[in-house]
Amino acid sequence: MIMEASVLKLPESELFTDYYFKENTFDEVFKKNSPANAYYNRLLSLISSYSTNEFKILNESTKKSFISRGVTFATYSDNPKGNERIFPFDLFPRIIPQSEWRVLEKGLKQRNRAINLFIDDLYHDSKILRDKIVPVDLILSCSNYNRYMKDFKPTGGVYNHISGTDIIKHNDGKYYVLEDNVRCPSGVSYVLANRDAMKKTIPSVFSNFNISPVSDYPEALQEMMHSVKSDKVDNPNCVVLTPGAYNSAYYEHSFLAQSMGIELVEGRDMFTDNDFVYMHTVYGAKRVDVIYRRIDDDFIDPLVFRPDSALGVPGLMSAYRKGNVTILNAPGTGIADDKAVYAYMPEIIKYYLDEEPILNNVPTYRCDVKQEMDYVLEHIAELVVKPVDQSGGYGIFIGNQATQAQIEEQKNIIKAHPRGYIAQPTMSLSVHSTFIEDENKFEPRHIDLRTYTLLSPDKEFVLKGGLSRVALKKGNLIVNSSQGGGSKDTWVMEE
Amino acid sequence: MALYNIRYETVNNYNSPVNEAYLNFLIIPQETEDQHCFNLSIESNHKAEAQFSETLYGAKAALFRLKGPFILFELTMTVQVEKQLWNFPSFKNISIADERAILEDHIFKVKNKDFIIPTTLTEINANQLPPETFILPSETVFQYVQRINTFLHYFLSYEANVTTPITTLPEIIQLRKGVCQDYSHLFIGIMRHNGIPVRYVSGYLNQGKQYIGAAAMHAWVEVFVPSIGWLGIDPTNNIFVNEHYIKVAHGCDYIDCTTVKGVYLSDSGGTTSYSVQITEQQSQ
Amino acid sequence: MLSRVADNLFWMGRYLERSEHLARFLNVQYFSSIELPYPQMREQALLSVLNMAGTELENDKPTEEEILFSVGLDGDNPASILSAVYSGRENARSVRDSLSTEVWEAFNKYYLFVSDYPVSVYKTKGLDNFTTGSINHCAIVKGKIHQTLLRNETFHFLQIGKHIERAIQIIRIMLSKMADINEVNKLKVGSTLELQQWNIILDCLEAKDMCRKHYHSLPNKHNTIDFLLFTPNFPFSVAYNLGFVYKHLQLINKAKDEKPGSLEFKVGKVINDFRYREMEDFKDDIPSFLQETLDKIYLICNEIHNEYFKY
Repeated sequence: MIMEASVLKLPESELFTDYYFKENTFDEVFKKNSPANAYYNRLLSLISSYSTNEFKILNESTKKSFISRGVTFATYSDNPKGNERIFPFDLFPRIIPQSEWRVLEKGLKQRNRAINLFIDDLYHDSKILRDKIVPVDLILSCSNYNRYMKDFKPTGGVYNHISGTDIIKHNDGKYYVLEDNVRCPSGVSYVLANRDAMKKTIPSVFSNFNISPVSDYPEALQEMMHSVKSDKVDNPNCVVLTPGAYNSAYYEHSFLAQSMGIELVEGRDMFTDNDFVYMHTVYGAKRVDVIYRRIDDDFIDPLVFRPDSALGVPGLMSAYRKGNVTILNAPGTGIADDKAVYAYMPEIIKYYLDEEPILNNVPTYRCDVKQEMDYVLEHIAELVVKPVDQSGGYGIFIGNQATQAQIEEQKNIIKAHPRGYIAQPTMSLSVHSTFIEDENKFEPRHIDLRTYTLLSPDKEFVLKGGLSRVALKKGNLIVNSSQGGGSKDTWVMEE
Repeated sequence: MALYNIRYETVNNYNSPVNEAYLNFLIIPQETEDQHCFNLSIESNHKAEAQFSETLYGAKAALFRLKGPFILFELTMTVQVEKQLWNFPSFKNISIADERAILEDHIFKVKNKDFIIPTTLTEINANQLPPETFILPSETVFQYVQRINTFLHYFLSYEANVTTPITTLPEIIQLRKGVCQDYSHLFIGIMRHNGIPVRYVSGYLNQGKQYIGAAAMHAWVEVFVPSIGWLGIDPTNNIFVNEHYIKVAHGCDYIDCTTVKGVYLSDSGGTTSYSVQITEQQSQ
Repeated sequence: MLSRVADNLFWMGRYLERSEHLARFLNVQYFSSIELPYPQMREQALLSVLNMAGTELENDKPTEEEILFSVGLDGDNPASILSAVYSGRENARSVRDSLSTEVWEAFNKYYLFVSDYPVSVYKTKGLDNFTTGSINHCAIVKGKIHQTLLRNETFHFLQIGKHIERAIQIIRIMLSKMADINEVNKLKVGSTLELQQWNIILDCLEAKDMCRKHYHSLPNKHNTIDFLLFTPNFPFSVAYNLGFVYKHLQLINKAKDEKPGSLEFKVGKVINDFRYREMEDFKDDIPSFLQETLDKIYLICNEIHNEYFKY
């Protein structure tokens, strides 16, 4: 340990005692055999000026502020009244230098614009399938294909209004897109809550650093919602549709509605009549024009999709197809975040935009292609296997952490349902110094970056920074909050 | 030309007052090349008017948004339908190899995706299907379709109340009994397994002809035969669909063609009954 | 405003107010009973707390700790302070986007104070700390409501809930204490103790000082009842609260015309009828009059529900 530490130039602070370098991993802050990344210098000297005890107190008071503000998510498994938990927050911010961010931002705009064109094409002429860029069978077997979208063009031609693209930094120091989330990406409220908490805890940093603000997100979101309203209305009634106060992401839903000053509605607040959508207000029915829904496709209209759904609005799809209401994200966008489709993303970008992809894609093996499956089965111990249609880190198999029995089991799972899985080389997520409460000091932990891109008919907006998620368990590579991850404030900063 | 008078009646009694409900009916005969509707009338005991819309596949749906409280909903639809007489389909001359090439063509697959992909109700594994249900290399699709039609007619015996509209194929194969929905679903499952597009059809059947299943809403299929196009087949009666069949809707399976789909905001349960009358007028 | 949101606001106001009255009643009853000379009266005072909250225990002879726990921190008892705060906060959570951050955070802190309160401390030595803490948190939430909300429907529905609940609680407290007084009178221990009970009612409603000032005399049965029911300018009187219910309903009703049969018309009628009642009319059977008034208030709740909360 001491040997390893000696190759790093660490700040003189007990908070960094025994900080170690993880082999074959990119450390966002420190470099082997050379000084720490220059853009972290001022932040490092600030953090090192705290004693361990002072830092602990700051950490505790931040946690408390999250609880009293109710910035929580609830789990109902072991308590019917719900256990509210905070999404653990780390006080050491992650810095992305402006020069790197400019490339990321450009790449995100490019990628999500291409995804939009791809979805539009699939629901219309399917040129990309005719031209055999993406195999037909891939789309035929995609469980997220929504036939109610066929030949229908949403207002403004936008499908993935809000995209959550997950990015990692590999040990080669390059950014890679790990997955696209174009259904209902969540987490953006934590970006704003984290920034708030950071400001309150260590206000001095904000006066000394040139950090890009994140507070423009609600305004950008609202502007985007207005941009996709029907031409028939001037001043659209926009709402956020939530499954209700018992949903684990309810805090975010209410935050979004509140920060835009629009109504937060549940399915039972709305009804349809003659293909228009209305909400029940104290003064009678009021028309609804744009719905930012935070419920899945299957639940939005019990007359069309799951008849047992009490979360949606009967007749919503019919009103939508008549163009009387805009739903975002559009139903059926899930075809683009199928992980087997992900494999084709570089080709998709080239096909629609005639540009080279700016962001790297992780090489991906499709198990439904015979040779690729053979490769996967043979090299499974070095690969990560993912189900194609899940998000939130569920069902991920990590070869180098599995026992022989687990490997055999996973092979059988793949063989039984090849279309259900893809495999990728084990990407080494970069690490970042993170305060570990049990140890009272900083240790390296794996992180990724969830970014947020908004698409309007003629404009793209990327939230500057995003949500850096941290795998708090030592050695863990899965950063999702549902799997015990935490997060960091993320600074896009002039060097 | 055949001319029919069709009458559909339904009575829904609820155990306790319903405050709000949406009821979507798929009972109006579809306008097609060989069938036209006249004098459509829909009457109910509720003041709400029917709101008409078109399904994904061109059928005409009538939606009622009912504000309560009510404990009874009655509806009567009457319509006249003019139907062209059926002729044996004319064939294009296509070799078996060309037929198969059409079915394998990726653009063809994209276009007919909805009717090639198995649904929950039409899904089945190869090893669960009787061996004689696979297409033979020497067979044309038309020959195959006829063979399966006859096969099913003998494989299943018609018996009411042993299955529900959502009984799955493995269950049907095990029971070897069922009604028109089950014949149709199994037919669909077999066809899709062989890459042949096929769709579920619901409609009315002339009650004057001793066909099986004419007493209620009937179900049959339309299968894509490359040498002909979409061809109506009734596996329950082992015949081609003719002028005695009045189509209401088609879709992937039963779910797309459900006669009444209801969403109740207060579900109290109750009883539903319906009846249909299809009488042929003597044409000149 | 969404009908569901209006409904949630109404109940948020009600639960907030309810929790405060439960806490204060519990505090006053408990600490005033300590100095009572007869053990039966102490028992009665605690049972009266259960009665006022509307709680029944399975055990006929509950211990003091059982009663305190049940009314204070028993999450399974829907009539406990914890349950009232929890329900109020759940309603607030459902309409969080309509409230100001300040109101929400104040309510959330109130909830955290109550839900995190250690049960063992509460049962043995924390009763005063817990109940006064609750009352103070209530005051903060109400202060934030007054300071940070627009005077729009959000505010009006919250206020309607608050005033309705307060009118109900005043009557419930009076009913409950009059039952206590009946028990005291059965013991035939003289009128001093009865007078003391009337004083306790006033304490439960933070009304003693103002009552003295209003009548320029010490509280007795007549002026206590008159004060708590009819004083138009005292915030803990029934007339005052019903008046505000009416006022906020008028502010919500944009049309402002009170056609016979309209909600405002009906509520106005109940209130005017109530205002012009005199002690003389019902002095022989005060509990029946109180019960009748309570029933009318429940009818008003129903009318409000039918007019605004249907979704």
